[in-house]
Amino acid sequence: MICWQCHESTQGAVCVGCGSLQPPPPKADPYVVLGLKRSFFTDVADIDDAWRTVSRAVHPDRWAGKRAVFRRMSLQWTAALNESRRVLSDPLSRAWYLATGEPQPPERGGAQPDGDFLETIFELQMMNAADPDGARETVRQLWDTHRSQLDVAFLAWEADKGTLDGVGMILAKLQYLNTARAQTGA
Amino acid sequence: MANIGIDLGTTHSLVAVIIDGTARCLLDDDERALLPSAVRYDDEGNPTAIGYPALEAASEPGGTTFTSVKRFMGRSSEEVAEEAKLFRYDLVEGDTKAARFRVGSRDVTPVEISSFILRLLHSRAEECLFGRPGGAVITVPAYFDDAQRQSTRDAATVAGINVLRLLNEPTAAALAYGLNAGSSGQTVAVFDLGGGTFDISILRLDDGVFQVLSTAGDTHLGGDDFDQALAAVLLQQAGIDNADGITYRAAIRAAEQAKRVLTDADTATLRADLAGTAVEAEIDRASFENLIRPILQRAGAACHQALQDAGLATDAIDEVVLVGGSTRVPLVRQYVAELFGRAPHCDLDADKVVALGAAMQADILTGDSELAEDMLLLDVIPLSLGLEMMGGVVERLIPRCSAIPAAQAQTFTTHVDNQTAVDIHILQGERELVGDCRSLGRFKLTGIPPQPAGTPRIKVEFMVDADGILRVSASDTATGNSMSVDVQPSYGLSEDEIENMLESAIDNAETDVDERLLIDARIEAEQIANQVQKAIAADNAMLEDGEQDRFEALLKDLHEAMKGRDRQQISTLSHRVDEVTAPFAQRRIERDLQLAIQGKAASEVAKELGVSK
Repeated sequence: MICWQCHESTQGAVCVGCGSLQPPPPKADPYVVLGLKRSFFTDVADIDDAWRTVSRAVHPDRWAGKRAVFRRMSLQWTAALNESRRVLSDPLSRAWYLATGEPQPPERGGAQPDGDFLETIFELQMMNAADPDGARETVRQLWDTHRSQLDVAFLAWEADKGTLDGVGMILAKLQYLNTARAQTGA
Repeated sequence: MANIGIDLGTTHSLVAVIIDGTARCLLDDDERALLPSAVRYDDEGNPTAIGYPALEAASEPGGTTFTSVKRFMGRSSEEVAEEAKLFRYDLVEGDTKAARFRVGSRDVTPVEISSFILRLLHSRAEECLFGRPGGAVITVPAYFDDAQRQSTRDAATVAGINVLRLLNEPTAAALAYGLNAGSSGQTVAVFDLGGGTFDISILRLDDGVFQVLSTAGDTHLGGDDFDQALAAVLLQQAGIDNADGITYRAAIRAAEQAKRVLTDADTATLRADLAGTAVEAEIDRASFENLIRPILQRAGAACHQALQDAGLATDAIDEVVLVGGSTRVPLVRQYVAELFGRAPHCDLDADKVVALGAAMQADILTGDSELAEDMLLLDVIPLSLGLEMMGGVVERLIPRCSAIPAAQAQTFTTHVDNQTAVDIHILQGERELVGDCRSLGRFKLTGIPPQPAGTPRIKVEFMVDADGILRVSASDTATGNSMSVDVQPSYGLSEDEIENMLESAIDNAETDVDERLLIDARIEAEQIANQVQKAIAADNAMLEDGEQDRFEALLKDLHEAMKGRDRQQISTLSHRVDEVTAPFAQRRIERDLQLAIQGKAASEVAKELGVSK
């Protein structure tokens, strides 16, 4: 990377040579913004560590009283940084980002689970009224099953042995199960 | 030039500054750090006294003493109607929904009243420091929403104070105790029991980073409730069922004194002259504690709520910090210790903790602070921000507890052919329907080129800055042109009102308009104008249609403003120039980078080949 101010080669958010804040990465790729390796198997603790490290460099408090262009960049940087952390912290949105390059699934028009699955969800809601403990346990099992499908898909993909074609459907199901988890307290 | 920290409290306010590396509260001529947050107006609506004199005159005829105005900041008349009755304030309707009070022939706003308190503290600092402070960090409750924060900022603007940052009170308290020192990360509960309000906040401190995880509280719970409980005992002993205002106030005063005595002594005497008879009653600490225990249990319930919201059990709390004068009551300390299973921090004066922390943050923002090296405050937005959609539904844009600054962009279009303006309604709150959330304001996008319905693509960026205040900017995605956004705040004051208050404030001010700040504003304006002019001259070819005209028109306005003495106008225009020319600056940066990369690549190739220049 080349510093936009001193034109020397540099790394990271702040030029190692002249100390100028660099423009935020265009088309904010959360992995680039946080300086993390692009992988689905990213630890939340690592995300938080990276977030803190970059925050220290780019936060508006660090650029208070500096030139207007730096203050503006600092605001953009920090906003992009916070958004990146939000997207990567949740495994579902992280998966969605890796599969589509978008920060979050569209409200409508995404993958729609098959009738059998929807029926299971419906039955779970009935069950929750009669037997909450049983419902909670079933939701837990279903969640674990689908959640590990996500891991399997990404393991294969990251080893160059598969595609992410099925991920949209797994995520759609996990979203239903997420709601069910909240309802049953699983 | 030193920066100061101000705790603008409901009952008391303070100012603090870093002297020789240590935060200290500044004292008045009678060596008191606390300034009662009270302002007295005479019947013509002229301010006559601030602080102690205003309090002392409270029961005298011929005017109104305003206290607790923080409760009314950034709120509508409708929302605070009940509250105003409690304080016997005369609420009136104004141009905006913002609450305002009638005094004689004039209406005064909570913003104006607060500005007098801020100005007095600022001038206290000016005397103590032998010079005008550079800027100020002002504390606000963590749960303050956009309108309340904006009003606090407005009050400071009217007082002629350069606001560096609005800081959450619990964050300031944790900062004052230096709890960020441990690098392994800890969870802190800040228990703030003041005269009339109770706040509990759960913070996460990690390696110098502060995050508010949750807040809860009770806006009518505090030391005043203790006084009222004690006063009721006294009135009962005296056989008075319906005390009039004067009798009641006398009982409250006696109760307050007894409460203070009971902090160190085991018994106290409630002594008052009630309705012409001298009444005395003995009270021991145990009976006092029985009286206030139910009040404390309400605070306990709020603590459990805050823990639940943060998703934590009590044993996850590593440290507890006490803030507010009422935490001096021994039972309060004992109660907190039992609730959290650990002894709370109380080495610092509970009244001063927040101001001391604000002073430390103010010092960090000087840019050459030793404290700043490894300290950084990262806050979150307390309530979700959303947009009104069709059918009165709120679409959440920035969820609560998002780290700030936070930005989200949304694309808007038109619904009718040749529509040239779009209205956007912004709300704050956690509910689904518009009616259940708090309206922050309406933004009007204007100047959309006439086109068939659905064709324009207007990108609106909502940015919550480091103070938790919303800024909105818009651009036409087709042309990249930035568009103007008119803001109509729902609860705040209109720009005109602030302008008027500023003018009258300048008329009344003892000191002249601040020369230095004016000069600073001019220098910054000059810098920005020069950069833009140079860029226009150097890269004229990179300008898009109409950009040059728009830039030059703005520059002309800015130069015009720089000739005047209106510092606010100069900075507003400087920032506007910076904002509007940002896309052009961005294109130039990208081009420079391209060139630099190409140049670098060539010289590196040359180096590898062993060719030197």
